[in-house]
Parts: sequence; structure tokens; C-alpha cells
Amino acid sequence: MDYSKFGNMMERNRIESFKKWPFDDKKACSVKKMAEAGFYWSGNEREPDTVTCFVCNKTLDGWEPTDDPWKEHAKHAPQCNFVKYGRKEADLTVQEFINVFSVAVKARMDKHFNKTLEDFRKCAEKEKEKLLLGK
Amino acid sequence: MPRTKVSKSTKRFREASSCEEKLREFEASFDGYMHALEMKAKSQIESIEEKFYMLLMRTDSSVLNLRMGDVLALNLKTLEDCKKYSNTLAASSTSGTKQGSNKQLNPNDEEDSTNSGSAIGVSTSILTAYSQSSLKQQQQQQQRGRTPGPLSSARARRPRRSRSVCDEIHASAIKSTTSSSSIMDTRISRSKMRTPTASRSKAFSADRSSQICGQQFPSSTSVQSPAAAFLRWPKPGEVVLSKCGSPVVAHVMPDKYANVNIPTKNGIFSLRPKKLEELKTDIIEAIDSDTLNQIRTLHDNLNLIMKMADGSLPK
Repeated sequence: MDYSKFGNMMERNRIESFKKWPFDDKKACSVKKMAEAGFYWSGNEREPDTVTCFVCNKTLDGWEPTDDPWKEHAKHAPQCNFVKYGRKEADLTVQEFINVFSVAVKARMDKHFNKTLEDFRKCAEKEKEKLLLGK
Repeated sequence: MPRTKVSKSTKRFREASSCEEKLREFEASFDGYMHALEMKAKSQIESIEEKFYMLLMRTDSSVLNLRMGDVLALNLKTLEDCKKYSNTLAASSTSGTKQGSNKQLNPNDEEDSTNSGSAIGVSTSILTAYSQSSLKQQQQQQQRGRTPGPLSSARARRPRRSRSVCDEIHASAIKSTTSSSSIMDTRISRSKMRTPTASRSKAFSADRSSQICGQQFPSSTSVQSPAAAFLRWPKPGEVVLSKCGSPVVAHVMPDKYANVNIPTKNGIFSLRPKKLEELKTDIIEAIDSDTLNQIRTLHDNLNLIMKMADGSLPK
């Protein structure tokens, strides 16, 4: 099965997303544990310790070696469906995984739609300004 | 007497008014487009929700209850492999699920589950899976000290009935918060006098799973309850009272055959499993568009059941 098309929905893909991470595997916030807690890497060269949750889209940075990804996730995004289950991918049932998957898909669609609407609104504002200046 | 003439149709005035007109038009069309976009987005999200709902409904509970770790370890390469595995799993666990589902179900519902569960085993197992997950959610909500709904918040605020009854209920609720029997018990403690609201009129299934399923997929269908729910007809002699309107005594329906009840303007149109000889056209007029859509969904669901039944028949 080609799991790459599922993107950050799958834990193995989340692990692979970490191009640069300041903490090694012995630390509490290792790449594996971050991916288990639902985070994928959304950092860059300047800010390599930035991650985002694949369900709630919460982005967190400023990690310390002793930080527990699950605890931090629950603290900053208690509403997240993945955190509510509180188990890594392998320990979820298929039904629970589908539930989480559907929430994640809907959140992505919402985000995409909101961005489209916002772009449209901005475009309309520009056109309106042009109209007013033409006056 | 002459007066100073005020010229209304100067060039400047004309320009200003046309510009304002254009602005108004622009804003109106902008609002229209925004609304159309929002509606489109909403309908697409709803269609995705429905697809996930159907996926859960159509997947066998033996597969749904597998751990993701085990599924991923199987390393199934193609969709065909998945289907094969799913079929073998369903076949091997048919007898197991029959025993298992009876164990998992609420002992209070034993009568109902034995009546209907054997007839539509697939739906029973799905409902069982739903009630399990929903109970888990409920447990988690209780742990977080949240009030999941008006019923629970009302329950949490103060006992609504006589103390003696409530004490007993609270004790049982504390003892076994996970069992749905406690939910059944607490229904006794519901107030006789409740503010009538539109949401109160929906039917609850015997194991209360409909309410929770509705929360899980709030807008997958226009109806709050799930597509299929096992309800219990009142037993002979059992009186059913309306809590949100005038008192009503439910007509006791024999539960020997399957039927479809459609609310119309004139009352309930009940379809029996007999061949319909003629149908008056005014029945369509009496059904509003929402109900018609619901019937359409029902029709699809019935087709799905028939397809499944036809597929499982030996050729």
C-alpha cells in the first residue's frame, strides 16, 4: 500500500516530515514521540523546532528536551480529537482512526475554504478601492 | 415669484450618483458570490461527512474494532487484499460476533436485541460499536468535568425528583458509569415538567445510542438521530406519555413486521410490508420537502440493506 498519498495523516509520514529537529531519539520530545503525538514538522532553517498537529492544526515551537509531546499537545489544544483519544496510531481501533481521519479532513477543508473566502474578500476590497479612486 | 434654480442634473451629480450605483451593485454581487461560495463549501463538507458515515456503516464491526497497529502490520498491498482480508475476517467471526454482540449489549435491551439483532446482525454490530465508542467519549467528558448536553447539565445541577429516587439513581450512576443501564435508570429521574423544545421531540433508541451517534455526526443527515436505530414499541399495557406537548397514549404496534412511518401534514403515513395497490397523489402534497429528502435517504438505506442481503444469499 502506498501510504505517501495519505500525507501527514499517517504516523510514518509524519516521522519522515522531520527534516531538521534539534533533539535526538533519547530525549522526551524525539521525532518518533512527536509523530506519535500527532505532530509533523512545519519548521524551517531558522526555526527548526516548529511542529503542527495533523488534526487540530495547532502549531507549537520553543520545545525543550524534557517536554512531553502528549502533555504539551493536551495543554495547548485540549479540544483536539486525537488528544482526546490520547493513544498513538497503532493503539487506536480502525473506527477511532476513521473518526480522527474524518475530523482532520474536515479541518483541512475548512481551512482551505476559509483561505479561499479570505482571498476573494481581499480581491473584492482591491476592486472596490479602484472603483472609489476612479471616482 | 421667481426663485433660484437648483440644477439637479449637473455632470458632477450624475457622475456621483452613477458611482454610488456601481458601488451598490458591486457590494450586492460581492455578497451574492460570498454566499454562494459559503454554501458550496458547506455542501462539500457535508458530502464528505456523509461519505465517512457511510464508510463506517458499511464496514463490518469486526474490522472496525481491530487495532490500527495490527492492520498496518498485515502490510496489505492493494485494495483487493484489504477486501479479501475483510471478507475472511467477517466470515470467521460471524458466529463470534453473534455471541459477542449479545454480551456487549445492555442487559436491559436483551429482549429487543434478541428479537431484532438476529434479523439484522450487521446493523446490530455497528450500533454496538457506536455505543461503545460513544460511551468512551461520555466517560472522557465526565472525567473532564464537562456537561455533554442539556440532559446531563440538568442532572448535574440538582436532583429533579424526590430525594429517595434520586439517591438511588445517583448511587447506581456512580457505581457503573460505563454501563448504559445507568443511563436507562436516570431517565426515570427526568423531570415531569420540562421546557418543551424542538429537540425534545426526537425519538431515542432503546439503548440511547441515537443521541450519541447524532453528536458524532451532527450534520451528516438532516435528522439528528442516526440512519438506523433500534427502537422499542411499547409493550401491551405500557403507557407512553408525551413530555413536550399534550399527553399522548401511543398506539401499540405489533413488532412482527417491518414498516415505515412517514410524518405528513395530516398525520403519520405508515407503510406496511404488503403490496400497495393504489396511492393517491395528494400524499405527495402532504409531505414537505425535508421529509421527502429524508425518505430519499431512507430509500437509499433500504436499498443498501437489500443489496447486502442479496449479496449474502447463497447462489
